[in-house]
Amino acid sequence: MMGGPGRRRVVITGVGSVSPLGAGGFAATATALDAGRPGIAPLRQFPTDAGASQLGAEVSDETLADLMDPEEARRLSRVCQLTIAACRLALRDARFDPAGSGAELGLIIGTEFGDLRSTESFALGYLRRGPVGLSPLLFPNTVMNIMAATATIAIGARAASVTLNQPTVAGDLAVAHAAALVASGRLPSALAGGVDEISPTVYRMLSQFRVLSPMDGGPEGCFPFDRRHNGPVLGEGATFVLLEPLEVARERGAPIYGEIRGAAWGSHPAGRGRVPRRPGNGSAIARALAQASLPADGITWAYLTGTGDARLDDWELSLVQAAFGAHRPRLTSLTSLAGDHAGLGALRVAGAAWTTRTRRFPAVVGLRDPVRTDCVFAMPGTTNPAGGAGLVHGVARGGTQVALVVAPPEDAES
Amino acid sequence: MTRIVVTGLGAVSPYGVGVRPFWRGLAAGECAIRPITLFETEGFRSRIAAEVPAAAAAALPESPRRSRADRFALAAACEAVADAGLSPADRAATGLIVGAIGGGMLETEAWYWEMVRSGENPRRRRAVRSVLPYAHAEAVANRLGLRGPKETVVMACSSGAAPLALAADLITDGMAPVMVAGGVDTLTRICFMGFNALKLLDPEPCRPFHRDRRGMSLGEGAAFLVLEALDHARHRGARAYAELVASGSSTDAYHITAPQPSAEGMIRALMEALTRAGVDPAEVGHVNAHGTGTPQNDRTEALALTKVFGGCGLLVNAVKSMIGHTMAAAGALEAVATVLTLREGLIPPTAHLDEVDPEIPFDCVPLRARRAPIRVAISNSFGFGGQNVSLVFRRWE
Repeated sequence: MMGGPGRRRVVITGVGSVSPLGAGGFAATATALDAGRPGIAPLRQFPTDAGASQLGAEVSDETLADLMDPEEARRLSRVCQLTIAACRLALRDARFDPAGSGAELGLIIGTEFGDLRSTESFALGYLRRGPVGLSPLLFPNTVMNIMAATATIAIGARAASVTLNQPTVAGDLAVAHAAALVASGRLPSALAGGVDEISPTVYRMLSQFRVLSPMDGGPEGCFPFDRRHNGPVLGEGATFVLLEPLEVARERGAPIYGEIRGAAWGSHPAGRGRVPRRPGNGSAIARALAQASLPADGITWAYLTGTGDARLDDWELSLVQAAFGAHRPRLTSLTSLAGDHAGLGALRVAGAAWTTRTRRFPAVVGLRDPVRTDCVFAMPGTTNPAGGAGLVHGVARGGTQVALVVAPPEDAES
Repeated sequence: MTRIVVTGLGAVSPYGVGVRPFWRGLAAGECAIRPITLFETEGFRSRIAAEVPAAAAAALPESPRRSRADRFALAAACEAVADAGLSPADRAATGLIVGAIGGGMLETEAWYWEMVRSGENPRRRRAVRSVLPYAHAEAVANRLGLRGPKETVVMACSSGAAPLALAADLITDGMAPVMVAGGVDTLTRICFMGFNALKLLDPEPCRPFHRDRRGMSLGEGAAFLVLEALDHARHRGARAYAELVASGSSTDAYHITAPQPSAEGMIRALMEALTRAGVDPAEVGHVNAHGTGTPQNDRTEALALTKVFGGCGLLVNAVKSMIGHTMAAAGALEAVATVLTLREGLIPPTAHLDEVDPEIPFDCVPLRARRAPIRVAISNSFGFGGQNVSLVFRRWE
C-alpha cells in the first residue's frame, strides 16, 4: 500500500473540523455532511462592496468562541485560533496525546492566504504612525507558517512541521504529502489538513478580479458541475485528520475511520491562474490507483474539487474521464456546502472516510442541470449508496492535481 | 536505499545572476551588504541589506505578470536545469518544490502603500495577482515544463532548506526521479520593518559569531538545486556535484520567535540527519551555519553544535556575513555554497570576524577562505516557529 514493500499502511484515526458546517470530530462532521445544509450565505463579518460578490461560507464567532479559552484566544489571530481548535478536535477524536504517546507528531498545513489580515494590520501600523506604529508581536504573523508555529506549541507537535501554500487544493496536498511521509516512516504520525479565513481585503480583491461567482455573469452562487456554474464562493475554516501507521493505531486501540491506500500529486503546467486545456499525461489518479493496487473500476465513488469555476470543473471532469474511461464512479463535491477554502481538502478526506464506513455519500448540493450527461453525479433528493474504495480528487488553477485513494476500515481492521 | 546526488546548481545572489559570481564572491570574502535602494528606509535603526545588484536584476527578462521574486526564481531554476542538462523528456518527469515567504509582496506593498495614502485603488493592481508565494512555482513549472509533484513550502527562515529535504524524500519514495528544489525571496518593506521592530537588525553589516555581534542583515536572492536518484543520473550520464546523504527536521514547539535555549530542537534535527545518513559526528568536517549574527541564534546554534560534535576540529562558517539573511533563499543558497565547498575544497570565510565570541568553541574560518579537503558537510537552517532543518552532504568522488 502507498508504494509497496517496506512501507507502512496509513490510516485515518481522527478528524477535527471547524467549518461553516459546524465544529467537532468525526461524528459531528459526518452528521453535518449527512444533513447537507449549506453554510453559504451573505457575508456577515464585514460589509461587502457594491461589487458583484456578496456570498461567503463563514465560521461563526460563536462556534469559534466555544472552542477557545478567552485568554488564549486574545493572544492569537483568528486564523491561528481556527487551526488550533481543529487540531485539538482531531487529537481528541483520535484519543491521541502527543505528550504521552512516546512518538513525535508532525504537522502538515495547507493554506492559500495564511494570515493576511494580520499582515495588513502590521502594514497599516506603519502607514498610519510610521516606525513607532509597527507591532513586533504582529510581525511573525506576516509569515504563512504562523499557524503551524502556534499550533505546534499548543499541541506539542515536535516532529517536522510544514506549511504548504497552494490555491484551492492546499488541504488535499497537505494530506497527500503527510500520508507519504507517514508511509515511509519519515514521520511517526501526522496531523494534516488546511486552514483559511475570509479577510475583507482578500475578498474584495478576488471579487474585483472576478475570480469569484458570478465571474461569468448570472446569479451568484456555488454551482459545481451545474450549467449555472460561474465561479467559486469563498469559504473559511480548518479541518485536520490524524494519520497513523495501521499497526500503531491498532496497538493503541485507536478508532480507524479509513485507510489512505494511495496518494499522488503532480502538475499540468498552465501558468499562474490558468486552467490546462487538456487532461494531459501522467495523471495523479492513475498513480494513486497503482499505489493502491486497484483497477479503475475498483473506485465506485469520488469526492471532487468542483469549485463551481466552470473552466476548472470542466478540466476536472476531463481528468476523471481520462482516468476511468468507460467506468463511471459516482461523483460529488462539498464546495457548495462549505465554500472554497484550504480546509476543504481534509474535509473531503474526512467525508471519504465516512463514506467508507457508512456507504453514505453526499449529494452535490444545488446541482440541477449537470454540465455532462456522461458522468454520474450524486443528485440531491436521491439516495446515493457508495461502497468499496473511493477517490478524493483535487485540482487547481495553475495545473496542480492531487489524488488520494481511501479504502474502507474493515480492510484495515482485518 | 536510494542515493541522491546534486546534478545542477543555479543562483541569483547579492553578487549577481549565476552560480559563478556567487561562488567567486563568497570565496573572496566580499561583503555585499550596502544601503538599501529598493524602498525608503528613513526612521529605521538599520538601513542596509544585501540587494541583488540593480544591473543584474534589470538584465532579467521583464513581464508585467512576473514579480521581482518570480524573475529571480526563474533565472536560478533555469540555470540549475540547464546545468543538469535535463532534456524536455527528463523535465516532464521532474518535480518542483519552492521555498518562499514574501512572494510578490514587494510589488503588492507599492500598490497597497499608494492605495492607503491616496485613498484610491491604484490601477497597477495587477501586481497583487502574484503576491502569494505559490506564484513562483507556477511560473517555474510552466517555463520549464515540470510535470512532477509541485509544492510551495513556507517555513520561515528554513524555507530554503526544507524543499531539499522534502524533495529528497519524494525521490526516495519513487514519486519522481528528479526534483528541482530551492528557495527565493526579495527584500520587502514588511520583512525589513518587522525585523527592525523586533530590534534584530544590526545597523552595520552583520557579524555572526563575533563577540560584539548586534544582529542580522537582510538579503535577497534565489537558489535551486537539481536533485536526482543516482541511478537516474548515471543512466543519463549526468555529472554529480555532491551527494545529499540525508536530512533531519524538527520543531521546537517552544516559542514563536526565539529558539529553545537548550537547543533541544536543533539537536534533534542534527541527530536525525546524522542517524539517517549513517554518519558519525566525527566524520563531519564542516558546518555551514545558520549563523544570523543575532546574539541568541548564534549562541544557541553553537550550543547545539557543541553537544553534537564536541568542541574540536569542526570548521564552521556563516555566509550571511557576506550576503545577509536572504530569508527563503538562505537555506538553498547555503546548500549551493556547501556543495561547492565540498567540490572545491575551499571554505568561504565568515566576514567581519576579527574577534570571535569566547562562547563559540569552533574555528569559524574568520576573514579569509580556507583550503580544506572536506568529505562530509552539514548545512543548517533554523526559522521562526522553531522550524529546524539540517542537510548532510558528502563530497562526490
